[in-house]
Amino acid sequence: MKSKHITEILDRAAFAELSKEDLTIVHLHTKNCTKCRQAFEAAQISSVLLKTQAALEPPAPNAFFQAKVLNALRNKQTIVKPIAAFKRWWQASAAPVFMMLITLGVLITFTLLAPTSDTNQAQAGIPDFNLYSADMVILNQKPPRDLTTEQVFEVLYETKSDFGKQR
Amino acid sequence: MADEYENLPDNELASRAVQGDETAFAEIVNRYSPRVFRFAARFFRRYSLIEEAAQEVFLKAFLQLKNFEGRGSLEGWLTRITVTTCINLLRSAKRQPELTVSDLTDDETNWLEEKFFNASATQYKREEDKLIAADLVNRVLGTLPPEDTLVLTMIDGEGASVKEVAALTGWSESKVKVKAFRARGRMREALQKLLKAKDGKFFKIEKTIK
Repeated sequence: MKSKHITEILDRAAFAELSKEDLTIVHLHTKNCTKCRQAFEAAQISSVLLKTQAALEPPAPNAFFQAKVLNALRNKQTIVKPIAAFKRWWQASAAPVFMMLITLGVLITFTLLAPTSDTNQAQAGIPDFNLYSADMVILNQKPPRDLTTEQVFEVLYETKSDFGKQR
Repeated sequence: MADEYENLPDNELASRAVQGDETAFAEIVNRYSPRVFRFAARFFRRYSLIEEAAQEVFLKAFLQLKNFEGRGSLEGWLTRITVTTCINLLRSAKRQPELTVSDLTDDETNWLEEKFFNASATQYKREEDKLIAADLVNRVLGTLPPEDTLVLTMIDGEGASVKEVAALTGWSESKVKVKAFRARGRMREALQKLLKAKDGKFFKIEKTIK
């Protein structure tokens, strides 16, 4: 038995449950094996430690424990409630919301794909000049560089302007 | 009202709690919190941690009560939740890789020294020695996997059978045996390292084993 270390015997069962035969083998072996003696002593201390821990009176819940649990439960439920409410709302209104989203998508697509106003003008035969010039918009004539200021006012107000004369 | 609930059987309390009866659930907490605390104390030493674990257990229990079909006892069901919750809490906590002599308090070092010379002594000079030992074992167990803590405290500490641990954890009996075998080895090695340390103070002294 001297050649076979006894750590397996120590680990096989709880130290307190070791049989007399096992203990005899252990004692015989540890007389000449320092390593196994150290293991045996550690196992002995381990057993004492665990037994001591088990013998201690476990702490009892304090008077507020029940209230704490119920309070934590209520807090948890208030967190869970909005999510549950959203789920219920979604189940009830998923179809209309889905339809609205589809409509919105279609409208956006049409807006993006629809022909621009420039193309409309070209198709209508409107000449391509400065559209932001007020006189040209009204008169549909050539750009203002061919007209004097007086001519523009005459056309606009159908009167003879004395704009230049007053000066 | 409270008396009425105190006399109700577990299954009735559970079904009322499922329907949203808070008083019924409060009675379940009241009835089983001592047991949950006792189990959580196997894993944690500090009261605040034990209480935190116990609270987590009851919150889980409330959410899962609808799954409790009354086939087993409510007590057993809650104990299983306690064990899994404590193991999960320990897993999520950062485990201390190794305990060294420098981590020990003077009291813990003295305790080890004293026990080394008189390991078979089970009588303590002072009640305080028990608390020192409990702190020390908790620190050593803190370096081991949570499952090791469970099997060691139950089998080696409390003398529970392999069958009992298997029933509690849902593991097979052979799995419990293997886990216990490995856990003992790890615990022994952790203690051996402590005893060898401190300039070899402990094991350099020759002593005969009785």
